[in-house]
Amino acid sequence: MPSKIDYPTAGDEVLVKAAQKGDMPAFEELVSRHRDKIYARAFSMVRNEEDAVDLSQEAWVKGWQRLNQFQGESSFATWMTRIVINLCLDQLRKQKRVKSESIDQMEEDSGGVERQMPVLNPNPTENLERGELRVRIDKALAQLSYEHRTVLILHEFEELEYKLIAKKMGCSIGTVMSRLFYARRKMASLLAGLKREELQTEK
Amino acid sequence: MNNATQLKVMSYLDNELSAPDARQVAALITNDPEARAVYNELKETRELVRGNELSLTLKEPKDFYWSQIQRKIESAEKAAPRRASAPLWVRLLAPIAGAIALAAVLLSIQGPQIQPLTTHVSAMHEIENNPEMATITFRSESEGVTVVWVSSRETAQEPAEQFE
Repeated sequence: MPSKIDYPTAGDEVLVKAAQKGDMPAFEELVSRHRDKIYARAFSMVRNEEDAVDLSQEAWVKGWQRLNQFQGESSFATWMTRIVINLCLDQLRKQKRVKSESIDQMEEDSGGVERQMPVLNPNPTENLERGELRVRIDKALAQLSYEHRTVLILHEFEELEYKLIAKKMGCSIGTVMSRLFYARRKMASLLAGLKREELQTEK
Repeated sequence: MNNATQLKVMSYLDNELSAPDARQVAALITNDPEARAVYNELKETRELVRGNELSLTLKEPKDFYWSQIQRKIESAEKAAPRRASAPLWVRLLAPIAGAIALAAVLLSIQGPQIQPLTTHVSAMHEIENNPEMATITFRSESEGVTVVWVSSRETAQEPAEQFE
């Protein structure tokens, strides 16, 4: 007689193995554990709640359908994150094809203002609580173009190498480097701007 | 400092340079204040962003969120039920059965104009069977004919999409 799994206390590996054999409640437990993380990654990329919910759910459906491909080389959460990133990239590409060329894209092609920007001290951490700082960084991320934001997310949060980012985004390593450089400089500028605004408000 | 150098400074920060290039850029950062300032700004920004991702929580109740996923899974499975993998013997015999059927059709169409294929086949003998290439080679000395049978390989896996 097969041993019964105590879903809430079982490890991800046990749940994944059970789900691979068709155990839907095991998969439900995995969804319950990691749904916020998957949703958060989708939201960070598409910046729209409704789309992020849809994409995260689509990722879970794909995860279920391809569960047998999961070999445990990374954690289950990382594997799921990769799936949702791929879906977001597909969606953003589709949107981009529909939209006309953005100002951001033109700026990126010409080098943007970031190249000439003086070097800054972006650290707005003084007198800021961590939660507040996170909100500020998120606000700054939201102001980046999708290409800059995506490359920054993939590099800083997912810790992917240039080569892998290039593969995922369907561009050259040189383009990744260029986008990452401008994204960081833009972030430095936005964060320094937030710091200046705060100082002015205090006066 | 030109753009190429700026990008090299960033690649150095991200450990993306070869050892000789990394040594060269390290020296540049030590000796050139402008390169050092760019390096420090990029480093500080990277650290700020890396350690401070906003954590978000889904507003949808757990049960509702899951029920939507479950419904999507079920409707996808109804629309395209998982193809049960055929047994090995079926997969191996399928190309041969196909060949026999084709031969039968050809014979019935061309009738007496050609000699029965079985004559040729019986005079042939297998000289090579290469499972890696999915080919079997037959040779008939009396007819002076060599036939290479190439069978299609089973590709049950979905397109290679790597997530790990």
